[in-house]
Amino acid sequence: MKKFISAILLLFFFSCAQLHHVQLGEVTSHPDYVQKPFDIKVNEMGINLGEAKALSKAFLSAEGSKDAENIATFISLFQMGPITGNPVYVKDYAKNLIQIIYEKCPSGMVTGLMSVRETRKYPVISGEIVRVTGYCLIKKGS
Amino acid sequence: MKSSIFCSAVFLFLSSCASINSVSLTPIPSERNKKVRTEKSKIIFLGFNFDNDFVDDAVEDLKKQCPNGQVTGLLTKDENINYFLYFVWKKQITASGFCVSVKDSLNNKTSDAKIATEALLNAKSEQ
Repeated sequence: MKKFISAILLLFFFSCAQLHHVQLGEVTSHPDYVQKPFDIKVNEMGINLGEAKALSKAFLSAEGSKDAENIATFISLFQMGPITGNPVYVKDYAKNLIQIIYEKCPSGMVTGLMSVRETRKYPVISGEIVRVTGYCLIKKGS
Repeated sequence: MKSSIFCSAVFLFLSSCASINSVSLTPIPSERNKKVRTEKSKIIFLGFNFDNDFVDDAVEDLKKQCPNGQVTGLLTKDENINYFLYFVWKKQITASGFCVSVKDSLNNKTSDAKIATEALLNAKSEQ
C-alpha cells in the first residue's frame, strides 16, 4: 500500500515540459547603450478533462464516476477550436504582458524580445505559461 | 521474407516526419548583405522533457553574430521532427535574418518607443 501511495505521489509531482511556440524579435546592439536583461513569466492553471475523467473512474463509485464523466463531457462541449495546452478558465491571464514589459523597461527601448509559450504538465492539471525575455536598452551614463 | 521484414524495419527506423508549429517574421530590411542564423534543438525520448531552456541562447547567438548592429528580417521557425514511430522526436527552433548597421535603427527605435509609451499611458488613463 505504501509503495502504491509513493508511486501516486511520485506521479503527481512528476512534470513534463511541452513547448508550443517560440517567437523572436529584432535584436539591436550599440556601443552607446547598455543592455539590461529582463524575464517575465505569467501562468494559469489548465485542466485536462480526459485525465480527470479517468481518475474519477478509478477513485469514485460507478455512479459517481458516471456523473463526473457526464460533467466532463458537458464542459468539453464548450471548449472547441484550436488550442495550445489544456483549457484554462481565466482567458485574460496574459493580457497585461505589455504593461509588465513597460514597467520593467520604462524607456520603452526593448530589444531581443523572445516569447515562449509552454506547458508544465502534471496529472490532471497543468501550468499554462507565457514567458517573455528581452533586453532593455539604457543609454550609457544616464 | 526475413530480408523484407529487415528492410521495412530499417525504413521505419530511418524515416522521419517533420511538422511546423509556428513561423514568425519581422520587417525585412533593404540592406541584405550579411545573413545571420541560429539553430537550437533538443532530442526528446518518449516525451520525457523537463525544461525548454535550449531556446534561451538563441538571442545571445544572434547578438554575437551581429555586434554593434541590428538583426532584422528575422524568420523564426518552430518545428517538430519525429523519428521512428514517434518514440524519439526533435524540437527545433531556427532563426535567420540580416545584420544591418545600427545607425538609423536606434533613431527609429526611439520614436517607436515614444509612440508605444504614449499609447500605454493613454490606455492606463482610460482604465
